[in-house]
Amino acid sequence: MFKKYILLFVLVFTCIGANTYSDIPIQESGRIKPLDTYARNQLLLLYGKTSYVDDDKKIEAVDWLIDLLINPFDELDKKIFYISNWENSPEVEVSLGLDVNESHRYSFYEIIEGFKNNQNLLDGLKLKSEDSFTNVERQIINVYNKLILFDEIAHSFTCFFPLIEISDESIRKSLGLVGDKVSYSFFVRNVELFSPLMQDLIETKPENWTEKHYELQYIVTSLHEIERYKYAKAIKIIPPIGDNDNWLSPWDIMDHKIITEDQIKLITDLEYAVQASLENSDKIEEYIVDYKNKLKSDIDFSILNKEVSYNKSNYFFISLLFYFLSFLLGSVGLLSTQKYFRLPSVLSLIIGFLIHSYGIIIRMIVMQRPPVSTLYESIIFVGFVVIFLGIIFELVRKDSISLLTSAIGGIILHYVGIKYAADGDTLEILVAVLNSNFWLSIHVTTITFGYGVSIIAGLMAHMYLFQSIINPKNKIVLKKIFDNTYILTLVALFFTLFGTILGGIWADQSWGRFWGWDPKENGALLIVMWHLMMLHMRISGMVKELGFSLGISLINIIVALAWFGVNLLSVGLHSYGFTDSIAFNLFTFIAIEIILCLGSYIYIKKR
Amino acid sequence: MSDLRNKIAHKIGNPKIFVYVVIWLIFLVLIGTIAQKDYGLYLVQQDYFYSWFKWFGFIPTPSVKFSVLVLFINLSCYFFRKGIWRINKIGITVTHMGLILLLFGSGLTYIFSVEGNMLINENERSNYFENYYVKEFAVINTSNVEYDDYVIFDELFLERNNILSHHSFPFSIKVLDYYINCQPVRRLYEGEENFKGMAKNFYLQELDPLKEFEQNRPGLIYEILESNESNNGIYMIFMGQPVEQNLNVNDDNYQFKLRPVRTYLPFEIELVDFEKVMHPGTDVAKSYSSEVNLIEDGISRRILIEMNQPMRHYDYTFYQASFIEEGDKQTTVLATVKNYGRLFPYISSIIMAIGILFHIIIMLMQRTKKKVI
Repeated sequence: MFKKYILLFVLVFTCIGANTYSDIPIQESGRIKPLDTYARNQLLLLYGKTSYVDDDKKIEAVDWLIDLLINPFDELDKKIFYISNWENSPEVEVSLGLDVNESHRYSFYEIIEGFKNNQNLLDGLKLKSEDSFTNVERQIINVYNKLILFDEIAHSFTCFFPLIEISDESIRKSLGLVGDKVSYSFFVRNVELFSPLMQDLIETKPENWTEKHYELQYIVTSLHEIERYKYAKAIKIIPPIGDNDNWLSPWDIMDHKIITEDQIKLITDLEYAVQASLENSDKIEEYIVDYKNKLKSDIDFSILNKEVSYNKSNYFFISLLFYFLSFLLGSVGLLSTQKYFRLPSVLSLIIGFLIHSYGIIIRMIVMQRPPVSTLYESIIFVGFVVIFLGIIFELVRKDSISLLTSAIGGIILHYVGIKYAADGDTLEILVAVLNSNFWLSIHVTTITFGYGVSIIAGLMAHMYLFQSIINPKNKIVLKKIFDNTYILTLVALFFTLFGTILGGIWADQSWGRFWGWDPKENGALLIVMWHLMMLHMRISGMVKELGFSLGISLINIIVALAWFGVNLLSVGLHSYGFTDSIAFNLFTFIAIEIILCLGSYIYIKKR
Repeated sequence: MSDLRNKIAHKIGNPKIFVYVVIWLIFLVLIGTIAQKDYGLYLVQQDYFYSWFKWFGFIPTPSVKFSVLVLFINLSCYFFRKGIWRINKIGITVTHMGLILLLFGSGLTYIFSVEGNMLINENERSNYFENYYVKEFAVINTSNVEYDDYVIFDELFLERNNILSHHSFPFSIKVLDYYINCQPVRRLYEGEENFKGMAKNFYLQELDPLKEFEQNRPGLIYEILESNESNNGIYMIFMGQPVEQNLNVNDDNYQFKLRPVRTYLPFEIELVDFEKVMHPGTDVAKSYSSEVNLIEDGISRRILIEMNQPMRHYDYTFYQASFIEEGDKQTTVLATVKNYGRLFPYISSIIMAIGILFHIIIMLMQRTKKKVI
């Protein structure tokens, strides 16, 4: 049994083979990240997924990006644009006159044709203010913006393509050429060789032109022709010079008046790599390695590699599987009353927890910030807290109840997290006020810990209601679950109360206002008040064990409202990310919880 | 006597009252939060949280402020109970102490704190900050070369038909209308003869208050009475009006201004340099900071105010809140707060944390003894 676990463990923690170009550094959204992350972000934005399926073959995002950069003209015909349905009606597709298909994916050519045929619609929308857009109109503009982005990415490397054929021997000799085709980039790199030829062309009267001059004229025309792609500056892959923090794209370099020696060397490596790729030569890896070696003095490749490994390893999905396994083993053990199921169940939970923790640590290293800064990270962290407390309670009490409760919590939260990541976890930077502040880090971590404890207290209360239905006579187990719930409620009160006050202290430190009745603050306050209410109800004898459990089981609703609900309101400083589907999921969750908990309570009372 | 006192305290300090008040507070906070979507933060704060009563139609109900006061009294009565210093109660007692301290500090902050924005252009200085929400109407006698003479009327006075007068100016002002938010609209035809100044060519159109209350543009329509024939008439003014309204009476010049309430400081701040750092390749600010001179009694001291690194001087704190850029001109926006109660949350949270932790430990120990666990 142990060997199997160790094998799985090793599999998970071994870096899954990455391409040579996965860790090429690129600047996007204010951060230097590996090309792999950039490709995933773009594919997620355009295609709706982080990997691309072409003829039933799964293609990694970074391979898709390389294909797009090297063979843009082939890729323009592939169905890459995903147009999500608005309320199950393909209104956007119909507006653009697209031939609606089931996958809702369309090629660049199809969409551009759609916009060409509906030029009036686009012109009208451009004049309209963004605030007055309907959802369909906003989506049309989004599709248009994606089209522009795709076009820009696709043509980023056109300056490296050997598109200019030179047959005149004297020109080839002057330029030091071996082959007969050269790129735009070649002329930029060798401007001192090309200038005398141009000088000669300008100074020679057209009536005296030789074959050589006509060829030079063809070169100039070709250069102009290729220059039409110089808008394609999306791929910021070349480090800047001096104090400037903004990285440059190949076309930025082509446009630049001053190019440093180092930049020329980098551009040359890239150009050779692109040309090797076009010729299917093995040398591509060699050039890429050369390129990366030149950057090693400025860039920490170990962090980039960690990010690539994080992207590929899918730690949270693997830990979800372990939690699921733990839940299955634990349930079987509890139902069959066989004790030997408990150990593997606990071990599965612990292994899942270790992988989960490792994933969080890698994220912290990559982003160089505390564990919780975005909504997605908070979901993952709350899951971590739930499992952590479950393991501690299980190790102390050894009753399988805490084990099952935390496994259920971990599974649900991981599921929500993975769904949310599919919508857009892009490892983003933060705005100034949220960036690197001691009190903020402590506040967010504490309050999120409080969410986690509240959730496991709520789940424990669910277990009480569940146990009261299936086995009401076993008072010892009921008492144990109640004690767990009560202690967890106190711990939850401690973290939510302290976390809420720390939030106030952060606000006081950052902009001098301790409390401002902002929705997120109110949400945290609601959780604190709910805990206080239930504890005082119990103290004053207003509720007994069953009533207390009902009240605490409903804390999950309050936590969900405070956590996700405030994003529905879009007011205040705290609304950090919301998608329409959250509203539907949130209200469905609330309805199910109320029916489940109240229904159980009424059933137990009436029995 | 002490029995009676204990009995009363016991009744008022009943935890059931606490439960009912907290249930009411949960309800108020929940709907108050939802209401922010439609009415914005400021109006909801005034309506649900800072008033004494929240009116649902014609029914008055206790507001958050009222409820918290009840809670404060209820919690205070806890200390009249017997046996609160027993080992199994100490945690709860200490937590209650912390909470009472927190509520007391909030009360102090609510009553005494002053806050606003201080805007300083680069290479200029300022000695006042402006309230975010509350406005005032100023009548300024600018006739003296060496100083200006100010008479300030609070926003509360700007109610229809109120007469504003003061012995320092020889006329009175009748408030005809005051709008929280409005816009000036050009008249198609010149107004009647009694319309004076800007009111001749413009009128004020009332608008619904904005959700972002601080973005409202208030406006006032007023009548000058008891002055000379040429001055008597109807005038208008709105906040941020580009041309000042002047009035000449007996060779004295009076200027009218509608502006945010100002709080003057006993020192000046000069903006030497404003700097902002963006996340590379984006429009997202990573940090911004103001290098300022704090000038007091002729002595100047250089200080750097950064995001999350405020400047504190006396009871005032200056936070780097925002900035304005117009061409080459940079203006820093410093959120300025004077708060006497700012230490209370720090102290009370430590006390409460100790209290709850102690209670949890005691509970765990008791349960271990009972072998329940």
